[in-house]
Amino acid sequence: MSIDKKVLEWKEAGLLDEATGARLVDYEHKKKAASEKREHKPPILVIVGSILLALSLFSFVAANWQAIPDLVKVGIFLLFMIGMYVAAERFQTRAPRYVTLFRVLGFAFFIATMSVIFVTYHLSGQLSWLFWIFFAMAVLHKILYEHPIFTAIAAITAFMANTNSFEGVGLTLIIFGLIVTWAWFHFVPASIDRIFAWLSFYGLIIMVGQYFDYDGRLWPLWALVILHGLFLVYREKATWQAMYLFAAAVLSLGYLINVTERWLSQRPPSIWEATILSVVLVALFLIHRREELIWVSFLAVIPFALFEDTGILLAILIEGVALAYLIRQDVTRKPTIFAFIYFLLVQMTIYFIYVWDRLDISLFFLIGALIVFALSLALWWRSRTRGDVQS
Amino acid sequence: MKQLRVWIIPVLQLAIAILFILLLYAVSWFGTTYTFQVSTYEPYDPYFNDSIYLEYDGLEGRQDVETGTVYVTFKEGEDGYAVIDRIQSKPFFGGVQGNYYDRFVYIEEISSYRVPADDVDQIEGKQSFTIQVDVAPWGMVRPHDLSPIQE
Repeated sequence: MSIDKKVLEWKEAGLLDEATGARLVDYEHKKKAASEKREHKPPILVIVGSILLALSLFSFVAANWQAIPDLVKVGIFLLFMIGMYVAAERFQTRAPRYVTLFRVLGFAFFIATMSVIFVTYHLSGQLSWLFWIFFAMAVLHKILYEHPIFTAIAAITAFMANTNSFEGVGLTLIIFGLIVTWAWFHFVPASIDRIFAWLSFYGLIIMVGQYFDYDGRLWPLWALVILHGLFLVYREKATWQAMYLFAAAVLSLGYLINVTERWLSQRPPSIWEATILSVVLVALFLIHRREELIWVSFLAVIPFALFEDTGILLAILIEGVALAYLIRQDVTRKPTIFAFIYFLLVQMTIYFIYVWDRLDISLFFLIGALIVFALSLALWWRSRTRGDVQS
Repeated sequence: MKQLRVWIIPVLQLAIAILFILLLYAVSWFGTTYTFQVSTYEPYDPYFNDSIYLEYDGLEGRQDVETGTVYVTFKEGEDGYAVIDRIQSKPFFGGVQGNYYDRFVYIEEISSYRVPADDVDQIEGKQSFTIQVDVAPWGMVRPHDLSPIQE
């Protein structure tokens, strides 16, 4: 029933006076008109029609793709790219939530344009440059437009650039990569960005080692040492600095897994290099005086452990460090979750490397079950005693 | 200033795309042209493909480098056809990127050649050719003018 009839009915029943009734009718009509205007939708046929038109345009272009001159092909993509950025600016005031979407699309069209250029002109020799250019532009997007989505895009492009450059990368490209990574690290102070930029730095330093043909068994450790240089500039405490610990944990497991492998064990490092590296690792802790770096400096044992190719010495040392770290975190009431995961991983690595081949399978599972049982017992005991203290 | 900042990215990306195309055309403007002798396993047939796969005589032979990615420059040989001048596994400025395996240097950009519509008749069915390759001082290459050797 319309509002007019309802108001008439109320007036006749003596519930409303003349003026109030007129105001009510007026108000409801205005509200209805406004809501119709706001919710105006294009008719369904127009939507279907435009989709069909777009489809036919696309299939026309696709069918004649080979016949289109190369420059026109590139031009079409460039036009779309510019169009997306223009649309982003147009929507700035009217529909701000679409701005980032159009910028991402603009970047996608940039990638598409460059791919078209590379494919049509057979530019495969310059391929590694392409990925670093994508990375540089993604970082620039992050710096200028500041949206979190560009962090993800920059991280993906950084990963692509690093992994595609492991074979034959020139010095110019390494320097370009270092500059871009540094810009990301310096101008975007968010922790998550710095974590990814730190990883990109690490990848690039590994590449430097490859470029100079360094016989690279200890180079991953040297790369970690070099990265400590960041502490000289970025001194304040921040989350990204946990990456040193993370990298140290991964490296220790990596060396533990590979210590018995041929490529590591049959070519022990020079005694001089091992000594210098160990001294430097300890010196880093003494220079920076950061409590957490002491765990990184324990990597100093690795160069020497490599001289002993059964790997038992390294296993014992890493086991000791992992346990000490776990206990230390617990005693100082810091989060133990990562220490615990690391400890578990060390157990599993040792178990798989040294025990797997030498046991029959039932004994293997029995020992595994005993370890799990012992761990849960330890956890229960710990939570019980802590509960006592609190109550 | 804030207004202009947002346009930096589209303009820069446009410039990069144009730069790459310019670099490509500049290969012919500033590059040195070498003539190579080439042959093909599979004579060109416009019905199947618009490209022809080429094997370069000047790129064959044992080289003193490890298998894998290599960088090469060319020089003119005694018979007027180009041969490899310098080859090494490390990138160097002006070196053309290729792949060395099985006593053969394979350079992807020049190994397949798109046959222009006007040349189809004279290339169809033939097996040995000469080809001009422009080599830029910065290591980009561009093949052109494939023509059959008269026997």
